[in-house]
Amino acid sequence: MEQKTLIAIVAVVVVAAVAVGAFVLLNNGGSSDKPEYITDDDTNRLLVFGNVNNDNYLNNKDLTMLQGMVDGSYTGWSLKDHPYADVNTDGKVNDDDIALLKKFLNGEKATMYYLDWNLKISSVPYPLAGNFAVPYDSSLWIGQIVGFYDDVVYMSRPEGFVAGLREDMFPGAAERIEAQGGTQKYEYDVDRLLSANVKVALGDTNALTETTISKLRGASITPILLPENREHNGLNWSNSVITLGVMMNKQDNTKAYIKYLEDVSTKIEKAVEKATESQAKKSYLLVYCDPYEPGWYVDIRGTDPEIYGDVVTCEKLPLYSAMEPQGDGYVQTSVENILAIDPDVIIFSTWGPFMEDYTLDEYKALVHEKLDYLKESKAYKNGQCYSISYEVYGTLPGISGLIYLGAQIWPELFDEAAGLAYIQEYFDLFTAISGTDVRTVTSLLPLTQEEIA
Amino acid sequence: MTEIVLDNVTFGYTEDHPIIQNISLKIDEPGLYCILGPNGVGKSTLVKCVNKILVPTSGTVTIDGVDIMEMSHADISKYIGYVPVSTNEAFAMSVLDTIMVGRYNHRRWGSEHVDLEMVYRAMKLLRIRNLANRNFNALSAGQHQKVSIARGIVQETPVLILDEPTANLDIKYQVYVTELLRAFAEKKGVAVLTISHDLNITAKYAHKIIMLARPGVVFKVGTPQEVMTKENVETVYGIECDVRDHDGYPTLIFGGALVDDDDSVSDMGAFEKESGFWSSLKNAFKSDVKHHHHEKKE
Amino acid sequence: MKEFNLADDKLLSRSVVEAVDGWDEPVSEDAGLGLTIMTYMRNRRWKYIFVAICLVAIVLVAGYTITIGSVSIGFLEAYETIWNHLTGNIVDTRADYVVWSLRLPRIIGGIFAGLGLAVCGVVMQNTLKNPLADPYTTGVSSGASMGATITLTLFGGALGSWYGALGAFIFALVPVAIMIGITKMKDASATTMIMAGIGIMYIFNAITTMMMMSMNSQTMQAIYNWQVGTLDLLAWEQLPVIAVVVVIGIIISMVISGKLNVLATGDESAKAMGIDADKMRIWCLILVGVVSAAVVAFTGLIGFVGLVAPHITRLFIGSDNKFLIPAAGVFGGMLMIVADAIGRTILFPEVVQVGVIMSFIGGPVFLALLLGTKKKMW
Repeated sequence: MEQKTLIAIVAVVVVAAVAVGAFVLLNNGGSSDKPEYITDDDTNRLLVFGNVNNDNYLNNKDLTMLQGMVDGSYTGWSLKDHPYADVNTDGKVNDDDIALLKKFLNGEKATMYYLDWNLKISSVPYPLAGNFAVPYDSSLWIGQIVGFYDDVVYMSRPEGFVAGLREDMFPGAAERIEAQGGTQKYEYDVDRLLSANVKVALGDTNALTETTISKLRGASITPILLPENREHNGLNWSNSVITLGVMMNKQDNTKAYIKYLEDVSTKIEKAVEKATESQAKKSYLLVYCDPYEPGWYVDIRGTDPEIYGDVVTCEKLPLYSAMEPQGDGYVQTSVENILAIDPDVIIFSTWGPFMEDYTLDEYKALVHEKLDYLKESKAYKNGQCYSISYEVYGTLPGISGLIYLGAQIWPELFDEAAGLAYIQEYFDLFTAISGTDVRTVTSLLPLTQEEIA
Repeated sequence: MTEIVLDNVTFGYTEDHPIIQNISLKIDEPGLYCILGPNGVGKSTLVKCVNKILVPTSGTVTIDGVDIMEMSHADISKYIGYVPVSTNEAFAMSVLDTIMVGRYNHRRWGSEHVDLEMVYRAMKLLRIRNLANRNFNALSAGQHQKVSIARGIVQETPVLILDEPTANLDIKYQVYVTELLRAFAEKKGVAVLTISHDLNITAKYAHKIIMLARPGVVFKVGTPQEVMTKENVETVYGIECDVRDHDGYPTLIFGGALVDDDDSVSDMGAFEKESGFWSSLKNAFKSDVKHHHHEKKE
Repeated sequence: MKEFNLADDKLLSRSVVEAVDGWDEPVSEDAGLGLTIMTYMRNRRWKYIFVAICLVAIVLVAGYTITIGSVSIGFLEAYETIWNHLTGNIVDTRADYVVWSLRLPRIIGGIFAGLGLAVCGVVMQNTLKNPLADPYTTGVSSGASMGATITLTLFGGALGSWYGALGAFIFALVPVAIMIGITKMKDASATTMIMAGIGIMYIFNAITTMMMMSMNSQTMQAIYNWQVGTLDLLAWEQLPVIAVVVVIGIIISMVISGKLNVLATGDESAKAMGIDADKMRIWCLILVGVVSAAVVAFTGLIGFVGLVAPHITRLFIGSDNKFLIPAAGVFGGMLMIVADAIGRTILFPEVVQVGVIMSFIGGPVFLALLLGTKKKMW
């Protein structure tokens, strides 16, 4: 074969191989190895070593069980099922573990170990105390529940973002919290954290990159490797709230949240069971709307361990995704593709109108414009199109509106009045707008198709 | 017959380095005019000033009494056809199409048959009919040359200028093409100007010779008998020669090259002037005269 | 006025005298003429046929791509749907929406975009006598990028909106204007233009990059998607603008196709034949700038078509611009909608943009042609 032709063929093969390789890599990022003892039912979200009985509290129940394990009166257990029994993570369950657990229960200073978002062991100085650095408003939600809101002094978002935080939702935050600066980089600037006297840094994998984590540890600032938005390796913000409550020795503050969480979760699980039996589960697509991006994007599960917050929230309901997991979970598609997939339910997820400068009308106009393209879809014709605000439903408060949203889609499985009451209860108990009628605050309730149109 | 008059024409890319100076010529009779001179004396520059490819720094060129500065390129092209030194073209067409481009000024709706006949005639004259459908870039240098000449001929202008038309041809075609141009000039009553390096062929076939000498001035204009003398050739070209008469036209027999050993006027004399780092840098930024893009400098 | 008699000229050989004497003779009886004209006409006819084939092909290809998409609509059904829409007798609203509102404007728009960019590529390559020239050599690409970025950051409007397109269009012409200014100050040679274009491109790209550095990742993604080039933003409303500009551009290109042929012989030769090469180059620059800016404003920077469609077509039809311009245009249009159809369906449910597909397929094809062909086209 002529040399030139040979070279040409080799070149084409190389290009094709690179293309296929890139494609495969991008779609097979990794997989989640969530341990079995962390189930999905929200009754065992506490990640601290010392939580011997795998529930949501660090209390005498754990101590009793541990003592039984050490003296042999509690049998038939394994370290695989009770990994938190090894309180000091030295590989043995013995008196040293009992001594450490007692220190925790007495509130004495010690080193506390926890399972982080990499499903590895990290540590914090117990009891954890401020000042705090956070990346998002969702972290402030956590601060309000656990009780470190007033100790947040630094946010890695730009000036405009911090200044635009709603005063009623985050009182005093705009004046008190120092912002990262002009460029929109989420990664923490360690020098600025030091000058702001920060001791603890919360974050996600954008703010806490591997390099930043080592720099922080080198500067004696404690990074908290717990997700405060999105889900990572099966852990999400509810894990963080409950675990931080224990780390700061403020379990009294998180009690009500745990109760609420378990209450709502149980109701939803029952509905999911019923839906599965009666085949009432519905397919859905989550269409992400960016005001600057005319393209069509959907939020779905990706092939890597991180999942967007709105997906985490929505998939608690009897919904199943109309698209297979692919890429990083943020996938560009087209109107025609959505019509071809034709899910039962379409949920639009977009930012705002939580920020002051983005009004409810602008928000509705954006969603309405996208909705217009989907008039020929099954979901539209059945009135099953909704919109949610990412700030609320992609983070902690997401769970509040699930029963209300569920009632729109499955009136036979959920009660709308109860759903509304749950929303009101959440914002009364866990946020700064306690006492306000949630129907008067934009974006706290999901919008139905009639309301968008 | 179109009359072309050059009056005191000077041209240079910068003010202080003129290439041709004070050239005054008149071309008012049909015939084959050959422009001769050593390398770099300004032969190509001169012809490019005639059809306004280069704009003279001073002096005027008139065609039938009209100053070329008042004429557009389109107007000038009706009087003067031009065949530059032949190069590969960026996007080549077939030979026939390439020659057809020369009919640009004559093309009208429905004139295709006339144009094709003219192209055919030119190809027949240049003996390149067999190349009609070949790609222009796939030709040898000699074939390029013939195609370019053909393209010049089909323009049917009263004056035709060819820049070194015989440069790449073998001896047979050097003679053939020169005879052709002479016969063409006589038959059609047009003026054909060529630039050439071959002194003997020129001496035989030219009706008039324009000999240029350094530093870019007209040395002598006249018939071959008048211009081609031993003194003239030795002075202008720097080569020993003997001029004999053969059948009524001069024939040159060459001796050795006359090389100057005096350092002050030879290449070393100019060394200092050309070697300055700063002077060459300065020259890069000098912009007294508007630059014209051109392929060959002479 | 001297008169000559060839026969009296002793210096001329007999064959030359005969040849030149016969110059004015009618040549129609000459057998060679007949053969030459016949072959010439045959080649010419083949070129006309090729253009005709291209036109038919694009209609067929367009027709086929209308039936392609993720929503399954049968081949004949697709045409039925169009017919129903035209006769005002819509039967299936879903099929009608998909075929008429989603696919059709995209395909028609894609054809015009491909048409415009390919023809601009031909003109650009001719005026700059450079096989690497494409419509973006005018600087339109860097200007439009900057315009889109500015519109997005300052006015916060979506890139698909009218003022997004307007912003991109206006800014796309700024580098062109600067280039013209430079040619007025220096000279309008091909080399000058190319160098100026490169310099301007660096400046504008630098400004755009600086703006992009202070953006959040979502806005940056929006700009990047636009830069890659897409047919997503082409709805019925945008089509008239693009169609009108492109059609006018093609008509003008066809009218000057003869002049472009002359220009291709070299600046000096062109000037000698009556074409002011410098002025012509500037006007071509403006023409290409306006047409490609109009296309780019709506589609983003779709690459490859403007550069390669002319080259591939040239392999089949030669460099005569009278044929090359329409053929390359039609070929470019076909290329565009085929690439788009592939991008819409190959990775369902993801979409891959037109520009990406074209480069992926086109690059290797172009290299193969380069290695495989023996014709010395450039």
